[in-house]
Amino acid sequence: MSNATLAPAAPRIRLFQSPALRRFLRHRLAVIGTITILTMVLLVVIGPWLMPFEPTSTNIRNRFLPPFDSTHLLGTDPLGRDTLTRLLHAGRISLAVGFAVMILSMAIGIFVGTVAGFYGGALGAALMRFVDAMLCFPPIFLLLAISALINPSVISIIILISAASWMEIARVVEAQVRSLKERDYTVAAEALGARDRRIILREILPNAVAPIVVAATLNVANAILAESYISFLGFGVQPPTPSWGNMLQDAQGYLRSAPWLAIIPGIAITLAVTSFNFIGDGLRDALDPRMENR
Amino acid sequence: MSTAEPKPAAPPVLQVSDLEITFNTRAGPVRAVRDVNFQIAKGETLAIVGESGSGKSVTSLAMLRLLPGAPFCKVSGQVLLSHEGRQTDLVTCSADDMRAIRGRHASIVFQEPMTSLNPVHTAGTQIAESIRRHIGLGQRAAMERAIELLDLVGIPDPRRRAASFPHEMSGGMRQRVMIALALACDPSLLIADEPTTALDVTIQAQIIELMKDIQARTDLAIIFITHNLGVVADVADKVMVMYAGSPVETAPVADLFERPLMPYTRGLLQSVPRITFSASRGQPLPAIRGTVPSPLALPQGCSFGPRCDWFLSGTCDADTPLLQPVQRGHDVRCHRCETILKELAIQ
Amino acid sequence: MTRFLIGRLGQSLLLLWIVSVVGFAILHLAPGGPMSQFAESGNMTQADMDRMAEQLGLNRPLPVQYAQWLTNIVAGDWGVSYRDQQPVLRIIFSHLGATFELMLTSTVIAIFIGVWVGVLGAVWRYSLFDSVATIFAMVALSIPTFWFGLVVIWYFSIELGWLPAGSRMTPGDGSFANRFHHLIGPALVLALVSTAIWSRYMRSSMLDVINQDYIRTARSKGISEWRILTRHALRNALLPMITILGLQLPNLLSGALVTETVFSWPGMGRLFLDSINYRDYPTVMGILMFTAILVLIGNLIADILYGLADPRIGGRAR
Repeated sequence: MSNATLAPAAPRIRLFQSPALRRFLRHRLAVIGTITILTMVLLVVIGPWLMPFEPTSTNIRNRFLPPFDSTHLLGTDPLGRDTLTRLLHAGRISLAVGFAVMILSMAIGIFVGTVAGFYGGALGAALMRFVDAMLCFPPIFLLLAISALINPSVISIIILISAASWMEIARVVEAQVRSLKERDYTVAAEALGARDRRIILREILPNAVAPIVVAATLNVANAILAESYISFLGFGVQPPTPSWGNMLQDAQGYLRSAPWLAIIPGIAITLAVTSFNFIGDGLRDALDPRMENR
Repeated sequence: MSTAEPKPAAPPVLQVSDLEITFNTRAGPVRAVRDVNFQIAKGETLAIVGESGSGKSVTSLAMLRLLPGAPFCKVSGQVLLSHEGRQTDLVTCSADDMRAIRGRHASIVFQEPMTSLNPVHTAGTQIAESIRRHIGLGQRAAMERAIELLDLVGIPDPRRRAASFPHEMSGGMRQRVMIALALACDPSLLIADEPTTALDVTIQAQIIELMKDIQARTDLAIIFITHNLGVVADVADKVMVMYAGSPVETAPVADLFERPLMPYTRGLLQSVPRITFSASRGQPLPAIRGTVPSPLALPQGCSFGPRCDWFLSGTCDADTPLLQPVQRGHDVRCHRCETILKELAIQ
Repeated sequence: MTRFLIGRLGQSLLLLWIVSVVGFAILHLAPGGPMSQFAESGNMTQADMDRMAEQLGLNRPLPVQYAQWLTNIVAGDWGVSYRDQQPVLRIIFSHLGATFELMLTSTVIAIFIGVWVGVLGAVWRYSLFDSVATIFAMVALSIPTFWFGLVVIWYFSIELGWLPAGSRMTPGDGSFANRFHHLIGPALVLALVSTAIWSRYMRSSMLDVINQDYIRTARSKGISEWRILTRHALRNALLPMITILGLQLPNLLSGALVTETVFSWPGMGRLFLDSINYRDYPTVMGILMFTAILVLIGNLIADILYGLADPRIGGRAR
């Protein structure tokens, strides 16, 4: 006999059920954000193959070319490297870091949040106090302090940023799980003898999807920002591997002679982060049942 | 209990004609309230009765222009308030005139005493604010007047209570503060929008006694909005029954209870076992089958038709009945009321 | 109120303890622990290192080391900077003024603009003003602070020449006007994100409040819309902002670090970064702990202020 047939069906939120999708599509900024992100992903995936330059190939004769040059669309840097090529390669790294951090910090956050929310008691309290304590550290200080102690690589940067950004997700999940645990269908499943793992995976987490999805989207935005901050300060992704943050690292010195070196990567970061924030805002409205009559 | 003895002729404090309220919703404009006509004299109490969604609260808010503004909501008709020997149409007067009238000549007491007072100001401050605004007393004099008012509404130790915050008081006491606030500038009209619904039964009775007492002293005209027929019998001189946004029967209180003519009113009264207060509290009219229609999809003809035991096909679903006088002071909106009247006479 | 205070104080102490454990753990996370900087200097033999570790007590069990470290921290002995051989706490305090000056100025700007943008956005909900303010806030939240700083320096210092490109004052000139001139750029850059945050929180708090029954009551008294806004709505809507002020402290400190770096502002953030570059671990760890404690104290103060400002929590006898 299966528990699923007996337990009352939980009212799941289906992501692509029409009302939520309709509300999302009505959110003009979220749609713009989605299109921008999809375009950016497409560009950084395909773009580098279409470019005639290598991101690391230097050309001493063509240093500091301004944008809209006949061969170098976005100009060149102090070593004569093509800015557009580097921007696309950097985008690969920065976006990949953003998504990877999101996945990793989601995993940590959902695990900690679920355990704390579901089991509660001393364990839950201890975990959440730990979350509170971690949130006392200003994020950039924490990131820099740890990155100064380890050898930076793309992988270690991902782990590092995840370690500093899972707490918000844990909080969201904990609050959701704690309230969902008391709902009738969870209690019913429990009464029928379903295992904890089954209750968590089949009854609780599917119902907590909405706030988790929103938190995850904003997490990508913050991860891209965090990567750019620590790379800009020289403790993130290390040259010659380009990232949007470390492209800006040297730019400060050439503000007078070549300001576009500072302006272009910053626009890319702002565009990506804004888009994710727009998407998060749209998802929040779309997945919130109270927004029905907007 | 007050009876329907004719009072000496006085100019009506409030005269409402053809009041209509339309909300603009996503699904298009919705006429929430229409055809509201009544007048109320000094010292008189009109009870507006109906289920939730019948438009009674919206009517009360519309009279003081407390509904959201132009793009969301449109009010038409006439609401004439007599004050200081003048008459002002509250539908068309300027926003400044409206503000000069609110709280001064016409006040309102809301349903929720728990949330209707500002949590960060003391009771005294909130009452004094109204006095300072309308009567122009100084801070200290206004506070003294506020303390007098708290005493008037039966709050013990009013001086201490004037310095209390709302959260330090019980629901009944907060409603007394709300009443003191409404009476602060000695208005000629008080609208009480379900003032006792959120309170315990014993407190309810106290608040109603208080309002009757104040009315006897000040000759206040009161519009009492409620769904509680027991309260109606206790306080009202006249009753207006509303259904699906329009009045369906208006009558002196004794007439209405003795000889209700509109089938909806009859259903309402049948659902009350005995006319004492607290009787129908929380009971959603078990005797009437069906549910209130959505204002988006009112039935053709009489709005009550589909739920009515007297429903006559071809008549009741043909055109909308009008509110017509059947006896002196007793108006009914029903195609079948002649028949009902005859059958009642046989019984 | 007293009970509320004691409760909050206890909570803060517990958090402080966890913060200290985390800080100690990070210190020992480095390969080679606190000794790694000696290893890197290259002119020490293994025997020197062992003697050094013995001297510093680094060969004892971790719990003992933690207890020793914690005792020192509580006693105000935060170690000595490798860079200039001064007590860490003294170095931190000498840089605190510049950071506070920057944070305070930018917060005042952010609150002033953010609160009003939020209030008006709520009052004129869905208006053109509201939409534009919403988009501006979202973009401002997404702009990397350091990049915005670079753009400001490029445009206002290099292109227009209106503002100095960095540092707290012109050497040799400590006048108020000169300091103020230097403060404008970094304060505005740091205020950008905070303004966006404040306007968003203020808007939603204000929307909550203006739909409350007591606002309708105030309106029914016939008082002016301006008075309803300032005396009835704003007071209530500002209450949760006190908590937000505390909660935003970590982000504000992070922003200050980046801004100080871009504008060569001689504050704690700049010191932190320099210390990292010099591998000056006692200072790095000192600043990390110090900022966490600052955040804890900030939140505690915010809670106390909230308790004083909200009569529902405050100390009035029943």
